[in-house]
Amino acid sequence: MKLSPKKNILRSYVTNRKFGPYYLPVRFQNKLLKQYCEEKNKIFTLSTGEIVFGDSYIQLRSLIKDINKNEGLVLISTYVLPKDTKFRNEIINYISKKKIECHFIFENLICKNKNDFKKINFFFKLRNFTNS
Amino acid sequence: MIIKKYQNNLEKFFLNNGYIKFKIKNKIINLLKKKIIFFTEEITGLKNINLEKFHEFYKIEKLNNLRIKLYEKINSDKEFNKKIFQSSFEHIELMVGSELCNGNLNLSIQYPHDKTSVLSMHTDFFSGESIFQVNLWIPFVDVKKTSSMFIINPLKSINLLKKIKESKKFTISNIFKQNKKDIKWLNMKFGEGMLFSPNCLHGNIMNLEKNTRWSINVRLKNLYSPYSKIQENEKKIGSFYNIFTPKIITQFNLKHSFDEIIA
Repeated sequence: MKLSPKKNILRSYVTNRKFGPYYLPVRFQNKLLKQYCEEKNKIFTLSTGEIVFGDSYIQLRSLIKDINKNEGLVLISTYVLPKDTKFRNEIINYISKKKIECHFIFENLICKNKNDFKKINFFFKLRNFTNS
Repeated sequence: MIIKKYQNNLEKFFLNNGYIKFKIKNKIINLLKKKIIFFTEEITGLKNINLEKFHEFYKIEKLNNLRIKLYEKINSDKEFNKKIFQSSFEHIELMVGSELCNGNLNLSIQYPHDKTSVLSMHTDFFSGESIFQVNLWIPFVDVKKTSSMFIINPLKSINLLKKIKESKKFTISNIFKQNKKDIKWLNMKFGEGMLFSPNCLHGNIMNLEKNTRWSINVRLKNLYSPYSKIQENEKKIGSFYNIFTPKIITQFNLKHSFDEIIA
């Protein structure tokens, strides 16, 4: 059966700042995101970039709000999400509530349900335990 | 040469509104348009192209590939680059001086009712670009309202940017919808150019007019004005900005390493 085009679209999100211990220029994030989409047989869309100042994550929140039903989201790493647990949970819950399939490339993680999304916070906690 | 009174008027207008429009010499703008048509015909195999009605003859599905090929053509064509710069040199010099760095030439082709060409409200420093740059914008067809771009004046932009920076509730589309009254559509005739500060919020929405928009934009800044303060950000010379018009003393110091003696 042929999937509907929307099911195959991954909306991509990039950051212009350090994320966790990493920094990767946006054009290379885009290359990786595009390559990932090709490997997963998904349609890559032009990425949305977060603003470099403040911590409002307005572009990520705007992207999640505007995402169409059955479209997915792809990010380079879970580290791209807010450090603040409360704010991060608000965003994760928003993604989960909208039933958005969310891909994180560095962690090789695809979140489709609540249990999958819990893994994101486990990563953050474990990184704190181990200072990694 | 720009006369003093005209210069004063431009300054005053730019400081309050964040942009200026000016006339480009017919010879230059016609040559640029001719080249765009030539490149497009070469790539598509079409003949006697009408830029305004291009959407009637060329499928939207093929548009992105055309954009990529045209981008490569215009950026590798030295004469095209030279003429773009010549078209606006006196005004650019007033804004940022004559020793410049620049970004690559960007080409927009915006079909009527094409959702994929929408560039939502933003400032260029969202991604770490210098606040000391000016953007040159040249349409190759007449543009009005939604077939053009919008800008929000500096004072109103700052108020909205504070909201964008601090609020964890608003989204870009909320803010845009709530402040539609503050946007200024930049209606322009073919033959006009514009310089604007990309610090001001700007963007476009879906083209609801009858014609396709063709325009070119390029970022310009003084080689020695500040770049992003974010150490790891790549919006720096070499990785984002190209050295464009270095003066002789810069070339001299690039050739001879006096800087290493004083380090």
